[in-house]
Amino acid sequence: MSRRRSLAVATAVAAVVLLFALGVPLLNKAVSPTVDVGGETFVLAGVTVTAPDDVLMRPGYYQPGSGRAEFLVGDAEVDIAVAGPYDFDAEYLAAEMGRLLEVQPGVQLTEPRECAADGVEGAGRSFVTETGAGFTCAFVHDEIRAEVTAKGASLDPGTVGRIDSLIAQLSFGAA
Amino acid sequence: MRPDPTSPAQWTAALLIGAAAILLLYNTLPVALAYPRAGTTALVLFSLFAVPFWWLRRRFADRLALPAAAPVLGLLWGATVAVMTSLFGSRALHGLMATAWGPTWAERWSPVLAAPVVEEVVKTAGVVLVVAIAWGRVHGVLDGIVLGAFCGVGFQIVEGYAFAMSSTVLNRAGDVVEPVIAVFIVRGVLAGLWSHAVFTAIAGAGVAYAATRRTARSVWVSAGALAAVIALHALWNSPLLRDGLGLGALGVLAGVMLKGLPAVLIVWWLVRWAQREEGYVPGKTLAMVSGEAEGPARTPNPAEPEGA
Repeated sequence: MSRRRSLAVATAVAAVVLLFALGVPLLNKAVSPTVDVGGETFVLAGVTVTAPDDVLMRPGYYQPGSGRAEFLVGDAEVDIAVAGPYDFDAEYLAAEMGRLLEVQPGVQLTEPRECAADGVEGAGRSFVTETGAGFTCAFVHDEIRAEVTAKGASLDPGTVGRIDSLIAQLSFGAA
Repeated sequence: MRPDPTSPAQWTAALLIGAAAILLLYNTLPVALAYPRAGTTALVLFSLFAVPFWWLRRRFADRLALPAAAPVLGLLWGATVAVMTSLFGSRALHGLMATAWGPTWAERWSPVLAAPVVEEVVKTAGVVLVVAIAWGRVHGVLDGIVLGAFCGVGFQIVEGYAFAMSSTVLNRAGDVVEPVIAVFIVRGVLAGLWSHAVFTAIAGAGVAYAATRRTARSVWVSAGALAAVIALHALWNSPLLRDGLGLGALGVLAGVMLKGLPAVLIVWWLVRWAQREEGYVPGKTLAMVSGEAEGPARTPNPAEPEGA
Protein backbone atom coordinates (compact mmCIF):
# COMPACT_ATOMS: atom_id res chain seq x y z
CA MET A 1 0.00 0.00 0.00
CA SER A 2 1.34 3.44 -0.90
CA ARG A 3 2.23 5.83 1.93
CA ARG A 4 -0.51 8.23 0.86
CA ARG A 5 -3.13 5.50 0.99
CA SER A 6 -1.78 4.25 4.33
CA LEU A 7 -2.05 7.81 5.64
CA ALA A 8 -5.64 8.07 4.38
CA VAL A 9 -6.64 4.81 6.09
CA ALA A 10 -4.83 5.78 9.31
CA THR A 11 -6.54 9.19 9.33
CA ALA A 12 -9.97 7.66 8.75
CA VAL A 13 -9.50 5.08 11.51
CA ALA A 14 -8.16 7.67 13.97
CA ALA A 15 -11.11 9.93 13.12
CA VAL A 16 -13.60 7.16 13.91
CA VAL A 17 -11.91 6.46 17.25
CA LEU A 18 -11.72 10.15 18.19
CA LEU A 19 -15.33 10.69 17.13
CA PHE A 20 -16.59 8.12 19.64
CA ALA A 21 -13.95 8.64 22.34
CA LEU A 22 -13.98 12.45 22.37
CA GLY A 23 -16.52 13.90 19.94
CA VAL A 24 -19.68 12.23 21.20
CA PRO A 25 -18.79 12.73 24.91
CA LEU A 26 -18.15 16.45 24.25
CA LEU A 27 -21.43 16.73 22.35
CA ASN A 28 -23.19 15.03 25.25
CA LYS A 29 -21.72 17.54 27.69
CA ALA A 30 -22.70 20.41 25.43
CA VAL A 31 -26.32 19.41 24.84
CA SER A 32 -27.09 17.67 28.14
CA PRO A 33 -26.96 20.50 30.65
CA THR A 34 -27.47 19.80 34.31
CA VAL A 35 -31.06 20.26 35.45
CA ASP A 36 -32.35 21.27 38.87
CA VAL A 37 -34.05 18.22 40.38
CA GLY A 38 -34.82 19.82 43.74
CA GLY A 39 -38.07 18.36 45.11
CA GLU A 40 -38.09 15.44 42.67
CA THR A 41 -38.28 11.89 44.00
CA PHE A 42 -36.13 9.11 42.57
CA VAL A 43 -36.79 5.41 43.04
CA LEU A 44 -33.72 3.20 43.22
CA ALA A 45 -34.43 -0.52 43.64
CA GLY A 46 -37.15 0.14 46.21
CA VAL A 47 -35.34 2.94 48.02
CA THR A 48 -36.62 6.45 47.42
CA VAL A 49 -34.69 9.68 47.63
CA THR A 50 -36.17 13.14 47.31
CA ALA A 51 -33.62 15.71 46.24
CA PRO A 52 -33.46 18.86 48.40
CA ASP A 53 -33.44 22.29 46.75
CA ASP A 54 -30.57 23.25 44.45
CA VAL A 55 -29.53 19.67 43.74
CA LEU A 56 -28.62 19.14 40.08
CA MET A 57 -28.36 16.12 37.81
CA ARG A 58 -27.38 15.24 34.24
CA PRO A 59 -30.15 13.35 32.40
CA GLY A 60 -28.15 10.17 31.77
CA TYR A 61 -27.11 9.81 35.39
CA TYR A 62 -30.40 8.45 36.72
CA GLN A 63 -30.53 4.71 35.99
CA PRO A 64 -33.53 3.34 37.86
CA GLY A 65 -33.07 -0.20 36.47
CA SER A 66 -29.53 -0.35 37.83
CA GLY A 67 -30.45 1.35 41.11
CA ARG A 68 -28.01 4.19 40.50
CA ALA A 69 -28.21 7.97 40.45
CA GLU A 70 -25.57 10.67 40.46
CA PHE A 71 -26.39 14.11 41.79
CA LEU A 72 -24.44 17.33 41.76
CA VAL A 73 -24.44 19.24 45.04
CA GLY A 74 -22.43 22.41 44.63
CA ASP A 75 -19.15 21.24 43.10
CA ALA A 76 -19.47 17.76 44.58
CA GLU A 77 -20.61 14.60 42.77
CA VAL A 78 -22.80 12.37 44.89
CA ASP A 79 -23.24 8.84 43.60
CA ILE A 80 -25.97 6.68 45.14
CA ALA A 81 -26.17 2.95 44.37
CA VAL A 82 -28.86 0.66 45.77
CA ALA A 83 -28.95 -3.13 45.44
CA GLY A 84 -30.06 -6.23 47.24
CA PRO A 85 -30.28 -8.77 48.74
CA TYR A 86 -27.27 -8.16 50.97
CA ASP A 87 -26.33 -10.36 53.92
CA PHE A 88 -23.73 -8.21 55.67
CA ASP A 89 -24.06 -5.16 57.90
CA ALA A 90 -23.29 -1.51 57.21
CA GLU A 91 -19.84 -1.66 58.84
CA TYR A 92 -18.81 -4.50 56.55
CA LEU A 93 -20.23 -2.69 53.53
CA ALA A 94 -18.31 0.47 54.48
CA ALA A 95 -15.10 -1.58 54.75
CA GLU A 96 -15.76 -3.07 51.30
CA MET A 97 -16.26 0.40 49.84
CA GLY A 98 -13.01 1.47 51.52
CA ARG A 99 -11.17 -1.55 50.09
CA LEU A 100 -11.76 -0.29 46.56
CA LEU A 101 -11.10 3.35 47.41
CA GLU A 102 -7.73 2.84 49.05
CA VAL A 103 -6.23 1.20 45.95
CA GLN A 104 -7.29 4.09 43.71
CA PRO A 105 -4.29 6.21 42.71
CA GLY A 106 -3.88 9.17 45.06
CA VAL A 107 -6.73 8.25 47.40
CA GLN A 108 -6.12 8.04 51.14
CA LEU A 109 -8.75 6.97 53.67
CA THR A 110 -8.99 9.17 56.74
CA GLU A 111 -11.33 9.06 59.75
CA PRO A 112 -14.69 7.25 60.09
CA ARG A 113 -17.78 9.46 59.90
CA GLU A 114 -21.40 9.20 61.00
CA CYS A 115 -24.08 8.77 58.37
CA ALA A 116 -27.84 8.87 58.78
CA ALA A 117 -30.54 8.13 56.24
CA ASP A 118 -34.28 8.38 56.93
CA GLY A 119 -34.54 6.21 60.08
CA VAL A 120 -31.46 4.10 59.29
CA GLU A 121 -28.02 4.59 60.77
CA GLY A 122 -25.07 3.90 58.50
CA ALA A 123 -21.30 3.68 58.58
CA GLY A 124 -18.95 5.93 56.69
CA ARG A 125 -15.37 6.90 55.96
CA SER A 126 -13.81 10.13 54.80
CA PHE A 127 -11.01 10.24 52.27
CA VAL A 128 -8.74 12.69 50.54
CA THR A 129 -7.62 12.58 46.93
CA GLU A 130 -4.84 14.37 45.08
CA THR A 131 -7.34 16.95 43.86
CA GLY A 132 -9.90 17.11 46.63
CA ALA A 133 -11.78 15.20 49.28
CA GLY A 134 -14.81 12.99 49.76
CA PHE A 135 -16.61 10.52 51.96
CA THR A 136 -18.61 7.34 51.72
CA CYS A 137 -21.72 6.21 53.56
CA ALA A 138 -23.04 2.65 53.72
CA PHE A 139 -26.54 1.62 54.80
CA VAL A 140 -28.12 -1.81 55.11
CA HIS A 141 -31.79 -2.29 55.94
CA ASP A 142 -33.93 -5.39 55.36
CA GLU A 143 -31.22 -6.92 53.14
CA ILE A 144 -31.22 -3.81 50.92
CA ARG A 145 -27.99 -1.89 50.78
CA ALA A 146 -27.42 1.70 49.75
CA GLU A 147 -24.00 3.17 49.06
CA VAL A 148 -23.30 6.86 48.85
CA THR A 149 -20.00 8.23 47.55
CA ALA A 150 -19.46 11.98 47.59
CA LYS A 151 -16.39 13.67 46.24
CA GLY A 152 -15.36 17.08 45.05
CA ALA A 153 -12.53 19.52 44.64
CA SER A 154 -13.35 21.17 47.93
CA LEU A 155 -15.97 19.86 50.33
CA ASP A 156 -16.67 22.90 52.45
CA PRO A 157 -18.94 22.51 55.53
CA GLY A 158 -21.88 24.03 53.65
CA THR A 159 -21.63 21.52 50.82
CA VAL A 160 -21.16 18.63 53.26
CA GLY A 161 -24.27 19.77 55.10
CA ARG A 162 -26.30 19.80 51.87
CA ILE A 163 -25.01 16.32 50.95
CA ASP A 164 -26.00 15.08 54.43
CA SER A 165 -29.47 16.54 53.80
CA LEU A 166 -29.68 14.56 50.56
CA ILE A 167 -28.54 11.38 52.34
CA ALA A 168 -31.12 12.01 55.08
CA GLN A 169 -33.79 11.79 52.36
CA LEU A 170 -32.87 8.17 51.57
CA SER A 171 -35.97 6.22 52.59
CA PHE A 172 -36.01 2.44 52.88
CA GLY A 173 -39.80 2.31 53.00
CA ALA A 174 -40.70 0.57 56.25
CA ALA A 175 -37.67 1.93 58.12
CA MET B 1 4.70 -7.59 8.43
CA ARG B 2 7.75 -5.82 9.87
CA PRO B 3 7.87 -2.60 11.90
CA ASP B 4 8.11 0.29 9.45
CA PRO B 5 8.81 3.73 10.97
CA THR B 6 7.49 5.41 7.82
CA SER B 7 4.08 3.68 7.92
CA PRO B 8 1.27 6.00 9.10
CA ALA B 9 -0.98 2.98 9.70
CA GLN B 10 1.58 1.36 12.00
CA TRP B 11 2.12 4.60 13.93
CA THR B 12 -1.63 5.05 14.33
CA ALA B 13 -2.05 1.50 15.62
CA ALA B 14 0.88 1.86 18.04
CA LEU B 15 -0.22 5.24 19.43
CA LEU B 16 -3.91 4.36 19.81
CA ILE B 17 -3.22 0.93 21.32
CA GLY B 18 -0.62 2.45 23.68
CA ALA B 19 -2.91 5.26 24.83
CA ALA B 20 -5.90 2.95 25.25
CA ALA B 21 -3.80 0.39 27.15
CA ILE B 22 -2.79 3.06 29.67
CA LEU B 23 -6.44 4.10 30.12
CA LEU B 24 -7.48 0.46 30.43
CA LEU B 25 -4.87 -0.22 33.11
CA TYR B 26 -5.84 2.96 34.95
CA ASN B 27 -9.46 1.75 35.01
CA THR B 28 -8.91 -1.92 35.81
CA LEU B 29 -5.74 -2.17 37.90
CA PRO B 30 -7.16 -0.73 41.16
CA VAL B 31 -10.02 -3.25 41.12
CA ALA B 32 -7.60 -6.09 40.35
CA LEU B 33 -5.42 -5.01 43.28
CA ALA B 34 -8.39 -4.76 45.62
CA TYR B 35 -9.71 -8.18 44.58
CA PRO B 36 -6.59 -10.17 43.55
CA ARG B 37 -8.12 -13.65 43.75
CA ALA B 38 -11.22 -12.68 41.77
CA GLY B 39 -9.10 -10.72 39.30
CA THR B 40 -6.70 -13.57 38.60
CA THR B 41 -9.57 -16.05 38.20
CA ALA B 42 -11.38 -13.72 35.80
CA LEU B 43 -8.27 -13.09 33.75
CA VAL B 44 -7.48 -16.80 33.42
CA LEU B 45 -11.05 -17.84 32.63
CA PHE B 46 -11.77 -15.15 30.05
CA SER B 47 -8.34 -15.52 28.42
CA LEU B 48 -9.42 -19.06 27.56
CA PHE B 49 -11.59 -17.46 24.85
CA ALA B 50 -8.46 -17.02 22.74
CA VAL B 51 -7.61 -20.75 22.76
CA PRO B 52 -10.30 -22.05 20.35
CA PHE B 53 -9.63 -19.16 17.98
CA TRP B 54 -5.89 -19.82 17.95
CA TRP B 55 -6.70 -23.47 17.25
CA LEU B 56 -9.02 -22.32 14.44
CA ARG B 57 -6.22 -20.24 12.95
CA ARG B 58 -3.94 -23.26 12.92
CA ARG B 59 -6.73 -25.39 11.44
CA PHE B 60 -7.02 -23.02 8.45
CA ALA B 61 -3.30 -22.18 8.29
CA ASP B 62 -2.93 -23.40 4.71
CA ARG B 63 -5.69 -21.04 3.58
CA LEU B 64 -4.46 -17.95 5.45
CA ALA B 65 -1.87 -15.55 4.12
CA LEU B 66 -1.93 -13.05 7.03
CA PRO B 67 1.19 -13.31 9.21
CA ALA B 68 0.71 -14.36 12.85
CA ALA B 69 1.38 -10.79 14.01
CA ALA B 70 -1.82 -9.57 12.31
CA PRO B 71 -4.34 -11.44 14.48
CA VAL B 72 -2.24 -10.55 17.55
CA LEU B 73 -2.47 -6.88 16.57
CA GLY B 74 -6.21 -7.31 15.98
CA LEU B 75 -6.58 -8.87 19.42
CA LEU B 76 -4.68 -5.98 21.04
CA TRP B 77 -6.86 -3.45 19.19
CA GLY B 78 -10.03 -5.20 20.32
CA ALA B 79 -8.80 -5.46 23.92
CA THR B 80 -7.69 -1.84 24.26
CA VAL B 81 -8.84 0.75 21.70
CA ALA B 82 -12.19 -0.86 20.96
CA VAL B 83 -13.01 -1.41 24.64
CA MET B 84 -12.04 2.07 25.86
CA THR B 85 -13.60 3.91 22.91
CA SER B 86 -16.81 1.93 23.34
CA LEU B 87 -16.84 2.73 27.04
CA PHE B 88 -16.68 6.49 26.44
CA GLY B 89 -18.81 6.53 23.28
CA SER B 90 -21.61 4.28 24.52
CA ARG B 91 -21.86 6.15 27.82
CA ALA B 92 -22.09 9.48 26.00
CA LEU B 93 -24.71 8.18 23.57
CA HIS B 94 -26.66 6.91 26.57
CA GLY B 95 -26.53 10.46 27.98
CA LEU B 96 -27.73 11.95 24.69
CA MET B 97 -30.63 9.49 24.55
CA ALA B 98 -31.53 10.25 28.16
CA THR B 99 -31.61 13.95 27.31
CA ALA B 100 -33.80 13.35 24.28
CA TRP B 101 -36.15 10.61 25.50
CA GLY B 102 -35.72 10.33 29.25
CA PRO B 103 -33.55 8.19 31.55
CA THR B 104 -35.82 5.13 31.69
CA TRP B 105 -36.07 4.90 27.90
CA ALA B 106 -32.32 5.42 27.54
CA GLU B 107 -31.49 2.74 30.10
CA ARG B 108 -33.66 0.24 28.21
CA TRP B 109 -32.69 1.10 24.65
CA SER B 110 -29.12 2.40 24.69
CA PRO B 111 -27.72 -1.18 24.86
CA VAL B 112 -29.74 -1.87 21.69
CA LEU B 113 -29.21 1.35 19.74
CA ALA B 114 -25.94 2.84 20.99
CA ALA B 115 -23.54 0.09 22.10
CA PRO B 116 -23.75 -2.07 18.92
CA VAL B 117 -23.01 0.92 16.67
CA VAL B 118 -20.00 2.14 18.66
CA GLU B 119 -18.53 -1.29 19.39
CA GLU B 120 -18.90 -2.78 15.92
CA VAL B 121 -17.69 0.33 14.09
CA VAL B 122 -14.57 0.66 16.27
CA LYS B 123 -13.72 -3.05 16.10
CA THR B 124 -14.15 -2.99 12.31
CA ALA B 125 -11.96 0.12 12.13
CA GLY B 126 -9.26 -1.94 13.82
CA VAL B 127 -9.64 -4.69 11.23
CA VAL B 128 -9.31 -2.10 8.45
CA LEU B 129 -6.15 -0.70 10.06
CA VAL B 130 -4.53 -4.13 10.42
CA VAL B 131 -5.43 -5.00 6.82
CA ALA B 132 -3.79 -1.72 5.75
CA ILE B 133 -0.68 -2.63 7.75
CA ALA B 134 -0.59 -6.14 6.29
CA TRP B 135 -1.55 -4.93 2.81
CA GLY B 136 -0.71 -7.52 0.16
CA ARG B 137 -0.85 -10.35 2.69
CA VAL B 138 -4.62 -10.79 2.60
CA HIS B 139 -5.46 -13.86 0.54
CA GLY B 140 -9.23 -13.80 0.90
CA VAL B 141 -12.32 -13.68 3.07
CA LEU B 142 -11.00 -16.35 5.45
CA ASP B 143 -8.13 -14.04 6.43
CA GLY B 144 -10.69 -11.38 7.31
CA ILE B 145 -12.82 -13.82 9.29
CA VAL B 146 -9.85 -14.92 11.40
CA LEU B 147 -8.56 -11.36 11.85
CA GLY B 148 -12.03 -10.12 12.80
CA ALA B 149 -12.53 -13.02 15.19
CA PHE B 150 -9.28 -12.19 16.99
CA CYS B 151 -10.21 -8.51 17.22
CA GLY B 152 -13.59 -9.55 18.63
CA VAL B 153 -12.09 -12.04 21.04
CA GLY B 154 -9.75 -9.36 22.41
CA PHE B 155 -12.80 -7.21 23.09
CA GLN B 156 -14.64 -10.19 24.56
CA ILE B 157 -11.81 -11.07 26.97
CA VAL B 158 -11.61 -7.56 28.43
CA GLU B 159 -15.38 -7.04 28.45
CA GLY B 160 -15.92 -10.40 30.16
CA TYR B 161 -13.18 -9.60 32.68
CA ALA B 162 -14.73 -6.18 33.34
CA PHE B 163 -18.23 -7.64 33.83
CA ALA B 164 -16.84 -10.30 36.19
CA MET B 165 -14.94 -7.74 38.27
CA SER B 166 -17.88 -5.36 38.25
CA SER B 167 -20.05 -8.20 39.55
CA THR B 168 -17.48 -8.92 42.28
CA VAL B 169 -17.39 -5.27 43.33
CA LEU B 170 -21.19 -4.93 43.23
CA ASN B 171 -21.49 -8.12 45.26
CA ARG B 172 -19.63 -6.35 48.11
CA ALA B 173 -18.82 -9.70 49.73
CA GLY B 174 -15.03 -9.61 49.69
CA ASP B 175 -12.42 -11.14 47.38
CA VAL B 176 -14.46 -14.19 46.37
CA VAL B 177 -14.58 -16.01 43.02
CA GLU B 178 -18.27 -17.04 42.94
CA PRO B 179 -19.45 -13.89 41.09
CA VAL B 180 -16.62 -14.35 38.56
CA ILE B 181 -17.60 -17.95 37.88
CA ALA B 182 -21.28 -17.01 37.61
CA VAL B 183 -20.46 -14.31 35.05
CA PHE B 184 -18.17 -16.72 33.16
CA ILE B 185 -20.95 -19.30 32.92
CA VAL B 186 -23.42 -16.72 31.60
CA ARG B 187 -21.15 -14.62 29.38
CA GLY B 188 -18.50 -17.20 28.57
CA VAL B 189 -20.33 -20.50 28.25
CA LEU B 190 -23.95 -19.58 27.42
CA ALA B 191 -23.30 -16.39 25.47
CA GLY B 192 -19.64 -16.79 24.55
CA LEU B 193 -19.99 -18.48 21.20
CA TRP B 194 -22.18 -15.84 19.56
CA SER B 195 -20.62 -12.74 20.95
CA HIS B 196 -18.02 -10.23 19.76
CA ALA B 197 -15.71 -12.72 18.06
CA VAL B 198 -18.48 -13.91 15.75
CA PHE B 199 -19.80 -10.42 15.04
CA THR B 200 -16.39 -9.02 14.14
CA ALA B 201 -15.58 -12.13 12.08
CA ILE B 202 -18.51 -11.21 9.81
CA ALA B 203 -17.38 -7.59 9.56
CA GLY B 204 -13.81 -8.80 8.97
CA ALA B 205 -15.02 -11.00 6.12
CA GLY B 206 -16.50 -7.89 4.52
CA VAL B 207 -13.28 -5.90 4.94
CA ALA B 208 -11.18 -8.70 3.46
CA TYR B 209 -13.64 -9.09 0.58
CA ALA B 210 -13.28 -5.39 -0.25
CA ALA B 211 -9.49 -5.50 0.19
CA THR B 212 -9.03 -8.43 -2.18
CA ARG B 213 -11.70 -7.66 -4.79
CA ARG B 214 -11.23 -3.88 -4.83
CA THR B 215 -14.45 -3.10 -6.66
CA ALA B 216 -17.18 -0.60 -5.82
CA ARG B 217 -19.54 -3.54 -5.29
CA SER B 218 -17.16 -5.16 -2.81
CA VAL B 219 -17.03 -1.93 -0.78
CA TRP B 220 -20.82 -1.96 -0.59
CA VAL B 221 -20.72 -5.63 0.44
CA SER B 222 -18.28 -4.66 3.19
CA ALA B 223 -20.51 -1.82 4.39
CA GLY B 224 -23.49 -4.21 4.27
CA ALA B 225 -21.59 -6.72 6.41
CA LEU B 226 -20.94 -4.02 9.02
CA ALA B 227 -24.60 -2.93 8.97
CA ALA B 228 -25.71 -6.56 9.32
CA VAL B 229 -23.39 -7.08 12.28
CA ILE B 230 -24.73 -3.95 14.00
CA ALA B 231 -28.26 -5.30 13.48
CA LEU B 232 -27.31 -8.76 14.83
CA HIS B 233 -25.61 -7.17 17.84
CA ALA B 234 -28.68 -4.98 18.48
CA LEU B 235 -30.89 -8.08 18.30
CA TRP B 236 -28.58 -9.84 20.76
CA ASN B 237 -28.72 -6.91 23.21
CA SER B 238 -32.46 -6.39 22.82
CA PRO B 239 -34.90 -7.38 25.55
CA LEU B 240 -36.61 -9.64 22.99
CA LEU B 241 -37.07 -13.20 24.35
CA ARG B 242 -35.03 -12.30 27.43
CA ASP B 243 -37.80 -13.59 29.70
CA GLY B 244 -37.89 -16.91 27.82
CA LEU B 245 -41.60 -16.33 27.08
CA GLY B 246 -42.34 -17.40 30.64
CA LEU B 247 -41.04 -20.94 30.04
CA GLY B 248 -38.33 -20.80 32.70
CA ALA B 249 -34.63 -21.58 32.25
CA LEU B 250 -35.21 -23.66 29.12
CA GLY B 251 -37.15 -20.81 27.54
CA VAL B 252 -34.37 -18.35 28.36
CA LEU B 253 -31.80 -20.75 26.86
CA ALA B 254 -33.93 -21.13 23.73
CA GLY B 255 -34.18 -17.36 23.49
CA VAL B 256 -30.40 -17.01 23.78
CA MET B 257 -29.93 -19.56 20.99
CA LEU B 258 -32.55 -18.00 18.73
CA LYS B 259 -30.94 -14.58 19.07
CA GLY B 260 -27.36 -15.80 18.80
CA LEU B 261 -27.51 -18.56 16.22
CA PRO B 262 -28.02 -16.39 13.10
CA ALA B 263 -24.55 -14.82 13.52
CA VAL B 264 -22.89 -18.21 14.06
CA LEU B 265 -24.64 -19.66 11.00
CA ILE B 266 -23.53 -16.70 8.88
CA VAL B 267 -19.88 -17.25 9.92
CA TRP B 268 -20.19 -20.98 9.28
CA TRP B 269 -21.60 -20.24 5.79
CA LEU B 270 -18.87 -17.65 5.11
CA VAL B 271 -16.12 -20.11 6.08
CA ARG B 272 -17.62 -22.79 3.81
CA TRP B 273 -17.99 -20.25 0.98
CA ALA B 274 -14.40 -19.04 1.39
CA GLN B 275 -13.06 -22.60 1.44
CA ARG B 276 -14.99 -23.40 -1.75
CA GLU B 277 -14.30 -20.18 -3.66
CA GLU B 278 -10.85 -19.10 -2.58
CA GLY B 279 -8.87 -22.27 -2.06
CA TYR B 280 -5.41 -22.60 -0.61
CA VAL B 281 -2.77 -19.90 -0.46
CA PRO B 282 -0.46 -20.68 -3.38
CA GLY B 283 2.75 -22.31 -2.14
CA LYS B 284 1.58 -22.24 1.50
CA THR B 285 1.06 -26.00 1.90
CA LEU B 286 4.51 -26.71 0.50
CA ALA B 287 6.01 -23.95 2.64
CA MET B 288 4.36 -25.37 5.75
CA VAL B 289 5.73 -28.83 5.03
CA SER B 290 9.19 -27.35 4.64
CA GLY B 291 8.76 -25.47 7.95
CA GLU B 292 8.17 -21.87 6.81
CA ALA B 293 5.68 -20.18 9.05
CA GLU B 294 4.35 -17.43 6.83
CA GLY B 295 2.95 -17.63 3.35
CA PRO B 296 3.40 -15.40 0.37
CA ALA B 297 1.18 -12.58 -0.75
CA ARG B 298 -2.13 -13.34 -2.36
CA THR B 299 -1.99 -14.49 -5.92
CA PRO B 300 -4.78 -12.77 -7.78
CA ASN B 301 -7.72 -14.93 -8.68
CA PRO B 302 -8.01 -14.87 -12.48
CA ALA B 303 -11.78 -14.71 -12.19
CA GLU B 304 -11.59 -11.46 -10.21
CA PRO B 305 -9.42 -8.82 -11.78
CA GLU B 306 -7.23 -6.92 -9.32
CA GLY B 307 -7.75 -3.18 -9.19
CA ALA B 308 -11.00 -3.39 -11.11
